[in-house]
Amino acid sequence: MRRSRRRSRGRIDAYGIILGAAAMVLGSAALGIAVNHFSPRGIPIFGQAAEGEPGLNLPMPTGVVRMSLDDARAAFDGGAALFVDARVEEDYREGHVPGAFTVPPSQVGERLPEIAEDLTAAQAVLVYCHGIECSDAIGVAERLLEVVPEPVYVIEAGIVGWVDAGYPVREGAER
Amino acid sequence: MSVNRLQSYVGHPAVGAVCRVLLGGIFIYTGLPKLLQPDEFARLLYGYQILHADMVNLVGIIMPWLEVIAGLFLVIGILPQSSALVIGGLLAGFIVFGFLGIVRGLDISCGCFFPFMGDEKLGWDLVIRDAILLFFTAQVLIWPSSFLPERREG
Repeated sequence: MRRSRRRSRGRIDAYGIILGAAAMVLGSAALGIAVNHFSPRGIPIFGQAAEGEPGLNLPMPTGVVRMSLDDARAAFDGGAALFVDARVEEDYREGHVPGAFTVPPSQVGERLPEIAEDLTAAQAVLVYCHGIECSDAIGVAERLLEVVPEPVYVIEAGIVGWVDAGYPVREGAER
Repeated sequence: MSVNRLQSYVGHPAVGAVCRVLLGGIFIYTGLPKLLQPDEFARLLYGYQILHADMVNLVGIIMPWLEVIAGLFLVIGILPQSSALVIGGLLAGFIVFGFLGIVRGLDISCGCFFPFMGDEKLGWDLVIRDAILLFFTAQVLIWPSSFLPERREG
């Protein structure tokens, strides 16, 4: 008896398995969306392509504001904005927004006093990292708020978006 | 060693329990941090440049829950074959994402053990690891086992 029952349990019931898996997927989706809706860390269900740019429309910390590539370019042309590169120095040397300061996330503490005067003198501070997939620019922007009045801007499209748009890039160590 | 004898070893409930706990444990361990930081996970998904930007957030919200729930069900033994199928599907997806990421030369964090191993770069070793884990799901699919008491029939 026991032997036959074990054998019947071991049989692969494809229909039942798929049905169970589908129920698990739907249950997870419902639970995930519901929890996300009420969670303080919740994100928009659908990312929105803001101002013609791809983007995830993820929430920004207080005092940090997302800036489009076009607005960043306008600020660059205006000359009164200060750009901060939040990638590692090696990436910075390979190509950065002309005039940008290098402030890798691991060196914010030591770099902040060195560049505080320039930061406070600038009309606007714009931080970028690699692209939408990185959050280092947001982390560095939050730290810059220690010396810069709100808001600090983040170019979400990053250096990848900047380069893809055909905007100017400079190689080598600069600031 | 005969095929039947090999099957009796591989299909042994103790082997099944090890496979379930290992696989389920990995998915719970890796799913929970993603679940708590959906914004970071969405960015990571975006980095693979496979999903459309509009869909990244939705997948980033649902996938961690699926990982944790399927992992939990697998460890306990609730719908073990369905849980194994879900986890097998996720692993297959990770393999495809990883493969496409590598062949396109993406220099990104794999996000596999996010965020504890966030700096682990996407590479072939990770794809191979996922492929090995697929064998564990096959064990559970073919020889389902559970920590729950066997239901009496009739």
